Amino acid sequence: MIENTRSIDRVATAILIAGLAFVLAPLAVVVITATQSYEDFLARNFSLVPGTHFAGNFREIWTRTDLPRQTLNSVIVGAITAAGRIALAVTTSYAVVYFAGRGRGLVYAAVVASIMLPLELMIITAYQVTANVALPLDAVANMGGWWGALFGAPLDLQWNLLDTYAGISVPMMAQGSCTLILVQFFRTIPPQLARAAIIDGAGPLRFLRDILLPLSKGPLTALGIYMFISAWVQYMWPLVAASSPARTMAVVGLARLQEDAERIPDFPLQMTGAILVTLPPLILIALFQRRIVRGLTLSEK
Amino acid sequence: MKQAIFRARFLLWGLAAPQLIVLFLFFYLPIILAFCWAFHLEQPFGGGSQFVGLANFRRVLGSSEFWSSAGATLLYMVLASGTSVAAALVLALAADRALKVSPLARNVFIWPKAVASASIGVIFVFILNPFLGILAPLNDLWPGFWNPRTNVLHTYIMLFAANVWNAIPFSFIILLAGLQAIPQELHRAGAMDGAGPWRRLRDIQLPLLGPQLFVVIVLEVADSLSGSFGLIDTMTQGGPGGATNLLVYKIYSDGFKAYDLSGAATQTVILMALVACVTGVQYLFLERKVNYDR
Repeated sequence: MIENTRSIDRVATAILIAGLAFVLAPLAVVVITATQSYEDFLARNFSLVPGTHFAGNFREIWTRTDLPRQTLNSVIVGAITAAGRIALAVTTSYAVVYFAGRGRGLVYAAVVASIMLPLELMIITAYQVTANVALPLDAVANMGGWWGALFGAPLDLQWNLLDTYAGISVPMMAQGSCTLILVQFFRTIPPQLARAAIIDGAGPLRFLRDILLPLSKGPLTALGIYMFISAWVQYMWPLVAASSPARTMAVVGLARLQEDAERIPDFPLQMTGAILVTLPPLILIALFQRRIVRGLTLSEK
Repeated sequence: MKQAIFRARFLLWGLAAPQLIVLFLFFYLPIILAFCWAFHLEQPFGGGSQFVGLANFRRVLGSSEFWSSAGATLLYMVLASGTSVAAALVLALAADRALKVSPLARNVFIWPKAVASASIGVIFVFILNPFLGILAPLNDLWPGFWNPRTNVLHTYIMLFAANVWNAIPFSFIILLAGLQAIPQELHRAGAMDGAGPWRRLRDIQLPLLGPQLFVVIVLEVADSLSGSFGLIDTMTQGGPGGATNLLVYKIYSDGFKAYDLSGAATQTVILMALVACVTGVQYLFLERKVNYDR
């Protein structure tokens, strides 16, 4: 670099190696423990000697627990949530960046404000809204009792989304960070493009479909992968929004593996489950690391 | 704002409507509902509600359990976000140098993003188990050396370790990108003026990293709270003796286990106000120090 900084480089290398050890050691312990059998584990307690029981543990997870089914649920919810968040973010940021009108600042502020208060903070009432999405319609209809006066009975629509894929994924879309990043990206695209498109006779929607979307392919895929992973690792909302085993997500299922705890928990089995639950997003991260980083840091340029 | 090109006003609202509807239903409506319930006595299972004014607040604020929970929440927010941002900053500063391990580190430090807070909770609770985990041999030598099930300090160390592990990626990505955007000429100019590496860190890198540091701190405070539920539910269940019963967890158990909807909603309102205050304080005191010009 600039001057001879060998001693500092040495310190930096040591820090990075310590960081690598801190991140990788728990993962290594998980993998090693997953290869041991329950009997081995009881006999030797904690040990870093790999066993030969991984296939057996995996077969037990695959056939005797709900985790495979729940992993499929995670794939479905992750895909719906990612696609939904991207679609909502594209239309909103397109509106905010490319359309003149009194509302755009207001729209942007309303969206960005949602970043500060995560869904976990308002879990009780978000659950209530999901249990009856028609709640606001009922409330407006029965305000002052005008609906009852007109039709004889107060309006009582019920639309319960709990325990459905929509009910798990749509509330997780109510978060503006994706829009924030896309707005920053759209602003870096030269406005001449849109002007040229207008001169060529393209309308706003044509410009969005034929020019803006193809241009944003890279960042959109990166964001999509990131949002898929973000949905996959959610815990609190999927825990309360899905009560039946058929809609439970994999991370929740993993946490519940340990619940029948009278005896010493079968940690090798649990760690095998942790591998199944963690591997799909981990592979995505390791493969698309560069793209994700570029997608996320758009807003920071 | 620049770049406004089209003038079809109804299209602006048409394009924004889907997101606004979703936000209204699952962000703004839950907030409004929380305020409503905080001033009513809500019966569970749709048993009706009754306006009670400030009675819920009086009840909540009068319980010592609430105050210890609120204190723990504030402590957790400050320490969890502080430790994870500090760790990510140190790692980013090291990875910013062109070392042999830097590319590997840049890839691996993002992996924890793929692990759910509840999963890492399950994993750490096993690794740090006082009788079966990695520290069990030390417990055999010195009984009571490590027991996160009874010792509050040990419990918090375990929580913060898991939180730092889980929270490194996001802060690391943003901070490293900020560091790499600092032009090399500034380093060279600083070096020519006789500033050593530590001096350049203090006077060039950290001030220029201001915007990124600010964003990361603000987001990490909110994130530490939302991630805390997965950790606490799998690691401590609020114990020992309620020491880690953070408001996020307390609201969940009050509402979903004890069916005290009004009490849970009242605490939701207080928690949201607390987070808003902390964020506001950050904007007032931190953002002023941030220099956006490069």
